[in-house]
Amino acid sequence: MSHQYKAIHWNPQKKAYDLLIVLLIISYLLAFVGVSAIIHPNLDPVNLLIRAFGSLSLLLLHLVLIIGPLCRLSARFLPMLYNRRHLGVSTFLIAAFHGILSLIQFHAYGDSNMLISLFTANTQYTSLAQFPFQVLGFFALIILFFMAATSHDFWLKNLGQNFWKRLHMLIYLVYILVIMHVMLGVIQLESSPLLVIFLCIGFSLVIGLHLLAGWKEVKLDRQLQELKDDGYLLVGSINSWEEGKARIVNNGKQRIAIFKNGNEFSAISNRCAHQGGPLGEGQVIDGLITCPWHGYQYRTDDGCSPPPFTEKVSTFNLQLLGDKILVDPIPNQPGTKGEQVKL
Amino acid sequence: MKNEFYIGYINKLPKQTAKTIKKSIFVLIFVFVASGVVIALHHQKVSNSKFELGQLSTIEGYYFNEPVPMIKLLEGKDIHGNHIFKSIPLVNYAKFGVEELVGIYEEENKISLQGKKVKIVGTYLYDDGKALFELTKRAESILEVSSLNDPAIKEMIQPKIEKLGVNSIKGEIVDSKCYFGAMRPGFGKTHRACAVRCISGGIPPVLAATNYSGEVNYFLIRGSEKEAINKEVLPYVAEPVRLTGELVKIDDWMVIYVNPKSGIERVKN
Repeated sequence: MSHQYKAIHWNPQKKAYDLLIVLLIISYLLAFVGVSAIIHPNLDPVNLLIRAFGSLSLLLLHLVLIIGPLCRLSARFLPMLYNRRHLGVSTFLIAAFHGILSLIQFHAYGDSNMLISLFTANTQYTSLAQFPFQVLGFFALIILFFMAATSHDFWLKNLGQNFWKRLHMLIYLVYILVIMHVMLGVIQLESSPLLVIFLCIGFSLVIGLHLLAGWKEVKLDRQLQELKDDGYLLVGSINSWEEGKARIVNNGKQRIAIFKNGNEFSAISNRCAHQGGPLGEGQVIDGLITCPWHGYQYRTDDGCSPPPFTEKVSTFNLQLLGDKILVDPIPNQPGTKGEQVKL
Repeated sequence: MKNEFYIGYINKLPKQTAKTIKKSIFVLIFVFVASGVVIALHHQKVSNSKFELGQLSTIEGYYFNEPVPMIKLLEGKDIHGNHIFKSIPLVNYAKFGVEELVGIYEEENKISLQGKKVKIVGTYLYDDGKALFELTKRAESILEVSSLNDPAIKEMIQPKIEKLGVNSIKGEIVDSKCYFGAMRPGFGKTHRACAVRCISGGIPPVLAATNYSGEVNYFLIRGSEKEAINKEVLPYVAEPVRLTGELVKIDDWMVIYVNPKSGIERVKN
């Protein structure tokens, strides 16, 4: 959490995370460049680097994409999500090396401007087999640039969570563009089926994990939506909560997280004001509801972050009927007190 | 796990989470290293072409404009005592041909290089029995030009032309500079944009045709009126094509003279 602009709020976890990113990048580059240099000593050094950075950025992109669903499936992977934006920026930088080297190698030092050449050297836009695959990579890189440039919380705050989130969901468009860039490009040059196999494994992993994580949430939503009673949603018996944790219901428009903190029950929006993280998968720590993604905290009664922080989320009114907790599906204004249940 | 909760800014990983993360780190390092090794092992074989980058050579030979600007080097004699020549097409620095450069040189020095003895400095490119020579220092690469006075030498260096009739040949149009050494690999779709830039800049286009035994034959491509058709072949570069035209062997190069409007067709691989 932060209330002041700072480029990076370093802490040991972030340093360890970045160290791992550097280690992975160096490991891959050493392995790829080392083996290529031995097996194919005549491979053009610039082409070698283009291939190294291109394949590495593809690998990193897969890692970026599987972290989200992995964390939804098991909270044990949450440390991988904590500093994912640095992984995203690293992916952009590696992809940028690939893109810039390719642009210079294949389009520079000729009779046309490099960028004009990028779009005009191959004009077979109506042919799938001959489609100018480099253009696809270029657009993927441009989107990645905007994502990397706006990854800081400064931009999240200034662009607004909804716009920022939509912008960063473009990672899926980037993934499609990159897959097509590879399929219509290098795959057509190589005779070994290995790259296709690698791509299929990666694609299956990304799609499979997303489907699993999505299915888990859909199942939960469907199950709880059936429990409506007199306008309020029936959440469950007071004995069905784990201490400090939440149960989540869906009011048809959004998810509501109902937390138990000692003898007190309170309900807030499931969507963190920071990056939209699932607050209901968080815990009450020191009396504050804490988001599992980046540790943003909210008071249980009014959904406000404790001073000096200024984030707010909606609260919801609760009722006790026998030993059952019910929640009003209509949200209160963000930052206003909701009716809690105190035993 | 029940009470475990990870918060990034609290500098301690919960026990079970730490175990999972440690295992994940080992898996990730293994996946990254293994991927690097396996992908590197499966590159398509790169040819043995060579570009002697940074290694300037000075050569002396006879300059001819046709079929493409080239220098003819005397390599020795065969067992019958006949002179053996090697024709080496000339290319410019970067992605340009030498026609413009030679034209400017001829205009500035009021001299035609055709059939003259020239001494040039530059960089060799070679592969598969063919060689090219880059005028690395551009116009300054032309060191000396001298006329031939001996009619016997003039006669000796005349190109040996053998007409082989009209033929159709299937292959890939490549730019000779990259294919024969400047890029490795210098063919195929991934290299298409570069080949287009080179051919558009005046580098002689070549049809690389692989026969059934896997042997590659090379054909310099010219228009049916012997003109350069670099711009006309651009849409077909790096695609499987069939060229139909008059086939002529000029010294140690095959040349196919193609009508660009009717002699080039796309074919399936």
